[in-house]
Amino acid sequence: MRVHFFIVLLLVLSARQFPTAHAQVLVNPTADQLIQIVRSQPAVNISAPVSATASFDPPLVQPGEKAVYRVTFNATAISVSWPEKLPLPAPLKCHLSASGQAMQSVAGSYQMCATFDYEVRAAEAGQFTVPAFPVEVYGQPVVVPAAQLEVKTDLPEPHTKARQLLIESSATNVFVGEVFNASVRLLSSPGGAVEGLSEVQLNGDSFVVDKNSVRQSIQMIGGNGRNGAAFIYDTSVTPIASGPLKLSAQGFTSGNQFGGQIVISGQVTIPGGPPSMLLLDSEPVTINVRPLPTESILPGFTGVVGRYRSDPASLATNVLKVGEPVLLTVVIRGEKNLGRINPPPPPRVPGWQVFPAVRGAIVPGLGTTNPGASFQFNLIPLTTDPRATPAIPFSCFDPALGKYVDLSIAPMPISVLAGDVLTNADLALMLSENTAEPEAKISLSKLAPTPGWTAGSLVPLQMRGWFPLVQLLPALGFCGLWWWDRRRRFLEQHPEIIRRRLARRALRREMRSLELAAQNGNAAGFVGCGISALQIATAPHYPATPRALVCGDVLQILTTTECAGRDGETVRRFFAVADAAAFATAAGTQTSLLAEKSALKEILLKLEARL
Amino acid sequence: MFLFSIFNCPAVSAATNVVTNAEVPVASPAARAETARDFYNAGIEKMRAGNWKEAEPALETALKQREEKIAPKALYDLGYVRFTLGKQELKKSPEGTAKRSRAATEAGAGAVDKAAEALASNDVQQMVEAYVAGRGVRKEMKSATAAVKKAMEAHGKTLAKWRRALSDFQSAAELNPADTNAVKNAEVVAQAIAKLVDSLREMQSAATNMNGKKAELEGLLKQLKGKIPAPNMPPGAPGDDGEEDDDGGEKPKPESLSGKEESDKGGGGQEMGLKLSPEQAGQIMMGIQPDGKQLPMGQGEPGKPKDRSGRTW
Amino acid sequence: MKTHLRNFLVLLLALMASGQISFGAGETHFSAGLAAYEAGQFEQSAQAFRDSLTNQTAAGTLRNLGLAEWRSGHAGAAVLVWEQAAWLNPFDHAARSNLAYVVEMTQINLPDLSWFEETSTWLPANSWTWIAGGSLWLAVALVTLPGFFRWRKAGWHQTVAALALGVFLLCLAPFVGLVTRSNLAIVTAKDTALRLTPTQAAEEMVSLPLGEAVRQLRQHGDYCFVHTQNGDGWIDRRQLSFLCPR
Repeated sequence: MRVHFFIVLLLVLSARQFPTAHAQVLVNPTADQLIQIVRSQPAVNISAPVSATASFDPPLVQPGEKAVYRVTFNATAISVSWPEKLPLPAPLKCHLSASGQAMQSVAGSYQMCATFDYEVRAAEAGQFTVPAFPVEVYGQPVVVPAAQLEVKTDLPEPHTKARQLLIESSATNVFVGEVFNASVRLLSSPGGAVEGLSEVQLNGDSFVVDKNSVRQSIQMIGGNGRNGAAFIYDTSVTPIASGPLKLSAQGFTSGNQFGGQIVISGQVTIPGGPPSMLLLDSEPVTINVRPLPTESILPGFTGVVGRYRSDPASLATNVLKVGEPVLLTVVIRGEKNLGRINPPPPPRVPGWQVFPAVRGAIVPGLGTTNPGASFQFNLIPLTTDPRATPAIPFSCFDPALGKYVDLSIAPMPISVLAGDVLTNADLALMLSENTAEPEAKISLSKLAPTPGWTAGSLVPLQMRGWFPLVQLLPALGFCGLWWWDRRRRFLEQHPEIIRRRLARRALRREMRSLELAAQNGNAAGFVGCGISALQIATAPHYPATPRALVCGDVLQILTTTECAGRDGETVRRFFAVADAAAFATAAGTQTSLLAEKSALKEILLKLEARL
Repeated sequence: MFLFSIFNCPAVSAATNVVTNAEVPVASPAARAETARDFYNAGIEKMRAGNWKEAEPALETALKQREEKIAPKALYDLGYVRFTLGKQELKKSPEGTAKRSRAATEAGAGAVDKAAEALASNDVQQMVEAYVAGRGVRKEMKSATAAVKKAMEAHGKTLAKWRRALSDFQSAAELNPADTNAVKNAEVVAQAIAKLVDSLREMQSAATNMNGKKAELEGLLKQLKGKIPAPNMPPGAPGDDGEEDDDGGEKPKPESLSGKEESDKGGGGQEMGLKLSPEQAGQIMMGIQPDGKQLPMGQGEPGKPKDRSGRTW
Repeated sequence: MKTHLRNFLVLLLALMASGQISFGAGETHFSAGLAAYEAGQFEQSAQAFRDSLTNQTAAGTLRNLGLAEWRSGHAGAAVLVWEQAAWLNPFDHAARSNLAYVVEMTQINLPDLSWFEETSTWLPANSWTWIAGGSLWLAVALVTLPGFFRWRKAGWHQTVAALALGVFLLCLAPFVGLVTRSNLAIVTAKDTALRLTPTQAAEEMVSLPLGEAVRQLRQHGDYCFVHTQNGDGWIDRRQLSFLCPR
């Protein structure tokens, strides 16, 4: 009976729902609990007086050899107003090679330390001192102490060289978007001790570092003329711009403090004690990044670069119903960067509604190789017409081959049954979403193969200095033509002007002939020219042909006084002699008229004035 | 021409001769200002009436009309108005704050020494005396901190105004090189700014020292409070000890961090509003527990390596 | 006479040859620019295209220079040369589409053109000048010359003159548009801001991004008073590059 009661009691108790530990988890922790969590963390000391240290590493070098001038503050980097130019002696050539900050544990609390490293080289031997100089930290001046560098020509080999990191790249000729491995190495000290690195940073424009793919290890390596252990920090890097890009690394030596997982191989010595937190950097390595070719881009390229292949897609079922979704799973296999693969955009195909892909889990491959990234597309057939799923264009760029590789998802045969009746509105909406024109994506054009349309200058013609002058030319031309036409019309309306002008010209010609005849003593010619001149001078007044005019016509032009006077006599005499010579048989007295040359000239001048 | 002497404050000790040249004829007050000249005249009117606050926007509007003839005069007068507004802001600053801050710091140092001595001696009477003295000094430091904060705010506003005034005078001189008054005023304002900046730095330095001492004193007072038995505890005004609602315990931030704001983008999780007093926040930052002990770092005693059961390198 | 003719022909050949040489040098730089661009050396490519432009201003060269500048990260310079390419050859849609791409990427504002400036973009810049000048003088000639030379008046004289005058009047708007468009400039310097007054110490009102289009309204010393879609203000001339070189 007691046993039965005990059993029943056990059964009853076991049937009760005791609150389990996980049910006691508070959804909203109280403020006090949060404060306790925060308080339990070590404090960050920002109130300690700020001090600076400065040193050369190493303090003794040969001319042209690298030394590192290192300045450290126990403050945050952002609070240090670091000057652009340092008061380094002129023979020292320097440039800022690295700067950063780290936290170090000091007397039970954390303290920030900011370091500035300068790469310094001296061209000549000597002793160089960087004087103390003030730097503003938290608004207060802090003095950076002086530091000395000794440069000697004769230094024994081997001698201490500047500590630095090594960076190695798995590839130096890559394409944009192609992932490569970068390995940052800190070799062991000459004593054989290997320190870890913290706050490792890869510096370089246009690189994206994958912080999730960091692998830290300590192993024996050979290189740089010696074998020894080294701390190795491996990570994946992706360039996002093209051209020759420089990549370098920096990090703080952290002694035996390793952040995260680390794999140690072989017999190594790790130093104890507090870490020195020295900021070291590496020489940059040049990565030639080529742009992806713009021609022969395959459809469905979403920026994936690497060696990938796509597995045959799988459908949840081959027998579909109109309006019911089906899942299409696609696996893209490769070695690198699976988490960053962008799936192809859903195709716009009549009769289908395709939703953007949803990223699934990473699918393991055979053994540990060839894992794959899975994506799932939701497809909904809108009609019973389709006989296969729509092809989904997808491609990637294979840097090893140097060309685009097609990874398109091939259509899969299906049969579509009539499903539930869709309302016209639903169907119209689905169809419109699928048949809408995809937005044209704007992108940069290609290069122009030829220079094309040329011009002397970009300045418009009408804004050049000579343009108004050039426009004046035809204007002047037309003005000139207009003036010419007007003159011509005027002369046509006033013909006497032409006549008189011609008469004057002819008269002057005759007068020259007259003069010549008089000089030669040619009486007959003199008389002829004289008569002719008188006729020419008189003709425009009528108007008439000069040869038709007689003495009386000429006398009519003279005034009464002139006619009655000497001028009239002279005219009559000349005409009489000319008529006698022309018509009479007896020899004329033409010679006597030579003496009246001046009188005749006077008359002719008077007549010319009247023209 | 008006000659003004600047208010004799600790920041600016030299008398200044910033001149104005309000010469433009005044338009009818009833007319609605539409052109640059109208706005300029309205500004001059307000200047003459001593209404500096309204003169500034009127002159700014005159400048915005982009009339080149008015611009040099408007700039000049705007510089003068801003300088005067800066002086008015400076008048709101309590006097002798740096000196008061230094005095409070010295008193704090004395109180700290006394409290430390009392704690070391373990003498209750001594501890009570030290506690009372420290409490009084803490109150004075709190009020000095508030005064410094007010003074720094006033100085900050003045500095902003005077920097604008300097730019205005320099611009006026650039537009009208013949205007020697603008050049002279620019020099005067530059000197005033330099002195103001020195004064600000001095106040900041004094405040930093004072706050450091205050924090130290508060820690010691907490310890004393913990050690003095309750019957021996001296009476105090309610709220004298314990959490203070004002921000007297707030440390002045380093200059390089001032002006930076937290991004208020929502993160991935739930946000909880925590009401923390400044003392609690200070304690968190300094890693000091309420009972005055330093928080240990990690596990085990600080400074000693943990026992490791594993391979040694 | 023969000597003069020979000398003239020699001079003409020399001028043609020098033109060919400069044309050839431009082509060499152009090819070098293409090769450098393909190799991803965008800075060198841009320099080669600039050298090609000093020999010969060409729309294709400007387009390529814009691409090289864009890839080198000089957005302002890229916008400027693409605008110049469109100015030179409006039929080249590539320059316009590149500008649309830049607007989408950087949210800058392209020049806001009035209706007559818009019409001036339909044809290359100098075409409007030639058409306007040619049609005007053709109309004048057809109206006046028959009278001057006493040709028999034909109906087609007047028809063609009317058409020519109509074309001239239609060309007036783009003609003026070209002149006003030449006041457009692009911001090509970093940290450019619109200032309240044309002075160094002026209050800065609005910051302008690289590639932003502005229109100069007037000038005062080294400063230009400009209109932008963000407001009006003064800018230092050295921070701007005009579409038409001054």
